[in-house]
Amino acid sequence: MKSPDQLLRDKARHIQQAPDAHVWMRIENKLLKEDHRKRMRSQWVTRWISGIAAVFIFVAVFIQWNDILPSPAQTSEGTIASWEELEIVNDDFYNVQRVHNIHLAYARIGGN
Amino acid sequence: MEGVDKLIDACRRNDANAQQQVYDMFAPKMYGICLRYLKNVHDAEDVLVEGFFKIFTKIHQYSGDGSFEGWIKRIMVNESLMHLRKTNNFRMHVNIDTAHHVSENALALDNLSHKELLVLIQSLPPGYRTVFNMYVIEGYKHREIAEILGISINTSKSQLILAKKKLRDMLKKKHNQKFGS
Repeated sequence: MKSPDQLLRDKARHIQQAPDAHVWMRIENKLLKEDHRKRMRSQWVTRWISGIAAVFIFVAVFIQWNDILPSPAQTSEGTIASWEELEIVNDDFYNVQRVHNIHLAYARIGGN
Repeated sequence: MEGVDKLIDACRRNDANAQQQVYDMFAPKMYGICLRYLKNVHDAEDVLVEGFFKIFTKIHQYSGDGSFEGWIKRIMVNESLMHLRKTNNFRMHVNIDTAHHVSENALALDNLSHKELLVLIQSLPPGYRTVFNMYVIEGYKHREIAEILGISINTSKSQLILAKKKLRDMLKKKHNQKFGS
């Protein structure tokens, strides 16, 4: 003989009722929205990563380009820091280079 | 069982057909659980939607150790409890001393259909109904119920006794209506 609790449990566990058809549609819509949200999120992540990568590449190229540019040249007037300055001091690059080389030669033999 | 395992694997790959098959397989039973906890059909449907959504989005968390149905059922019960907590303030302030032990009429229970039982359970106040569902049907211990619902063990016990008393009264009334007193 089953106890009343056992009887209730057995009966209650067999309670079944088919939900309306629109319930599945709601679940389906919710899943689709979630899927869309996930895709959008991953797209944003990809965009951010490519954006950051682009910035890094730009900075790297910029640094590299600066390295390609000639280093500050020395003249009897002092240090020339940039091309613009160089042009102002002496339009003739050859002369500047020559002065620079003379300074280097002095430096090697220990002169000023 | 192998079929269910294949369905679970397909659900893990977000296969819509497999998801619908899982839904078709378990929805009537799970809806029954939701209806036991929530009187309102719309609330039960909301919980069913939330529950299945959770099942499909967290299916990778199912380890496969226990039964899949048990895992689904636990999610549904938790969702129902969460919904109740959000929308209802359980009135569970009856002390154990005011409640007396009651026993249901086994014969009257035997003659009760599933639908009639569902109506009876649904007509219990939310607090009684929740503890009754958790203790008698789901098999939780009073200690666990107290922890989950944030009530004392004595409150849980008293709610159960009062739920049973109310059920017995309703059964008696129903029996008298059926067979005349």
